[in-house]
Amino acid sequence: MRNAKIRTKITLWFALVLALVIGITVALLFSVGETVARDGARTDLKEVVTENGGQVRYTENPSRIDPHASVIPWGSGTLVVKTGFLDQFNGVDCGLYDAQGQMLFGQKMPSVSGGTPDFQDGKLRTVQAGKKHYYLLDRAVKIDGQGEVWIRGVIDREYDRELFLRVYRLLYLFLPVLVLLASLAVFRIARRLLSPVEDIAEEVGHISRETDLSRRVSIDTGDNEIRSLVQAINGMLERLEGSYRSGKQFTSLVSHELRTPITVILAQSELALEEDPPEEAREAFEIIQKQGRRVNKGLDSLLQFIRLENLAEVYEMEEVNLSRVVTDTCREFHAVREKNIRLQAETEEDVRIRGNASLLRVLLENLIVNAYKYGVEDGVIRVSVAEESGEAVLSVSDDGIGVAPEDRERIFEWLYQANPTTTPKGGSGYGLFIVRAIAELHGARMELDSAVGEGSTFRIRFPALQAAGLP
Amino acid sequence: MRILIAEDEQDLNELMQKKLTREGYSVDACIDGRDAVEYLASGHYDAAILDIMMPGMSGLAVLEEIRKRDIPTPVISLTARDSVEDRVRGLDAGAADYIIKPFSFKELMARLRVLMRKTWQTESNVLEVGDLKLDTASQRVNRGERNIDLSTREYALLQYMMLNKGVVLTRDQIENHVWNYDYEGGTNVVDVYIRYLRRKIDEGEEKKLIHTVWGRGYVLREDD
Repeated sequence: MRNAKIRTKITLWFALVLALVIGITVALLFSVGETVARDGARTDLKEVVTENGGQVRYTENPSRIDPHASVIPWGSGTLVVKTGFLDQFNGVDCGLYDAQGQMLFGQKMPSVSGGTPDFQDGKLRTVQAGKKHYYLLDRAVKIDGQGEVWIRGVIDREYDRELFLRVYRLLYLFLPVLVLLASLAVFRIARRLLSPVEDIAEEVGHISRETDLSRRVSIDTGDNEIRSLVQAINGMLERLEGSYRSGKQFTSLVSHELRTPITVILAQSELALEEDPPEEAREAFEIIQKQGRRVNKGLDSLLQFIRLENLAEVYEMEEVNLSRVVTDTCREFHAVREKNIRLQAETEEDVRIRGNASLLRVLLENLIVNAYKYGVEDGVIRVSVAEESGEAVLSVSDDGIGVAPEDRERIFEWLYQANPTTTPKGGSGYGLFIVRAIAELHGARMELDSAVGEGSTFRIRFPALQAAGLP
Repeated sequence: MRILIAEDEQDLNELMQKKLTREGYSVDACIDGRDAVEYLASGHYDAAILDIMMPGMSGLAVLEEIRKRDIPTPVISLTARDSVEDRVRGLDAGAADYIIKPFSFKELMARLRVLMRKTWQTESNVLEVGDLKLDTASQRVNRGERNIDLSTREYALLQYMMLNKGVVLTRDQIENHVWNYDYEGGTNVVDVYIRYLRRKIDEGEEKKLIHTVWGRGYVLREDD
């Protein structure tokens, strides 16, 4: 349910509430209807019994009897039951009895469990016959000097209720259909109302995939919540684009303003050295050249850092052949003869990850430069790429001075260098920081195995291609 | 080989001129894109080095403009390392190669030689006509076992003729590809230098390589 679509949720909630409301309404109607029905049954019973009481007469003169009326010999005369006696009316069964309970006229009443009850004048009672409940009412008709006869009426308690019940049954049958139809309508409406949200998500996704920050969400639904959402997103894109552009301008400005003079310095000293200068001047030019190159390298790392930190550049992540990146990068180091260190590359073919090739190159360059820096004379640097249980593992190991346990976390910090008395000078202090930043950008894990005096192995585990989870 | 440099940084511009001239190229230089287009329109250049970041008209705009005008001069673009986009756009716009600032002259020279090899469709840096050999990398010239010492201009002239071996070159063609606009010598400068070359290359040899084609110009070839 948590992950269901909003339109599904709306529909389900609506259906639930609708079913509840209808259910409660019907239940209320039911209980009211039941009361009304029982009241109706009682009233009908009373009316019929009272009315029938007026239809029974005693006479000792038979000549005056209405020919249509029923005649029952009783005592020394005759009981006359007029045609107005309603023995079956509105569900009421009515009969005429003598004081001994012998039926004289009318409808028999159902056999009541627990025997025929005694006559009680005007008292409404409930009796049970079989599974049904009945209202029962007696009325005494006094006959002057002759005693009394009884009129007894019964009515099924549920008689009027039957009608209601039929309506309820119908309602219960239609309720699910009704809810279903209404839900379907709500579902369609919700889908229509919410479709701009999906369109927005798609457009924003497109913008972020294409890394084109100059685009805006163009969906317009009139002046409502969706429009405010679109405006908020576009406002955010505006700011993002602004900071992206100013970051880019900044790096490009720094790059141009600093690189041009460095280029001139390096070119000038190169030319001067060609002219075979005297020994002292040669040394001076060589130092200028060396330091110029160092400034340039520092500038590379600095700009790289600014980009990584401020996201001044949106890096496009795509399928990259890590093996090829590693082979190409290692080839560039083959000419390096520093400390007579050998660089060995062992790469599995075609190990692919999702990433940015130029960033990966920077990552590897930094690791290799680091290995050279802390490597020992005649040492070996091993670079390898392999697939291990779905992960692509890049590792760079050296047999250099190693990293002390207390430095293991800190070497990845900005401008940190392990104990300056034991480590070589000339490190920039941000090489490994950049390595970690790039690894994080790729969702990779970093591991470091190291023993002082034996060397270090940096291992970077990139997620498998499918599970990389990058846009 | 005649080369155009377009670079707005004056110091770097001058350094490149100096270095390329020393390497035997004849060089013209300008400091903005609009001039570069005008220079290139003359069609005398064997290659151009274009800075991408120039005020006014950028190197990219220059590239686009000259390709629109069907000027086929191969171009090396100078870009900052930080801008992958510029590099790619430069190559897309028709640059033959790019070089990242700061660069070393060794690299620039090597790239130029590669470019020349591509342009003239030669496989190696060594040009050969008969027993005459010219190595564009070391700038050494040999005839058989004999090592020939040439001045920069003589070297440039010989290289141009060797690249066009068997092709008759007019004095104008030679002048336009070997001398730059700064040259204000007489009109017979080509004849003078051909004479110098003949003295160093053909004198005392049984087989002459430099031939005069009357009324048209000169040609370098093995047979008579």
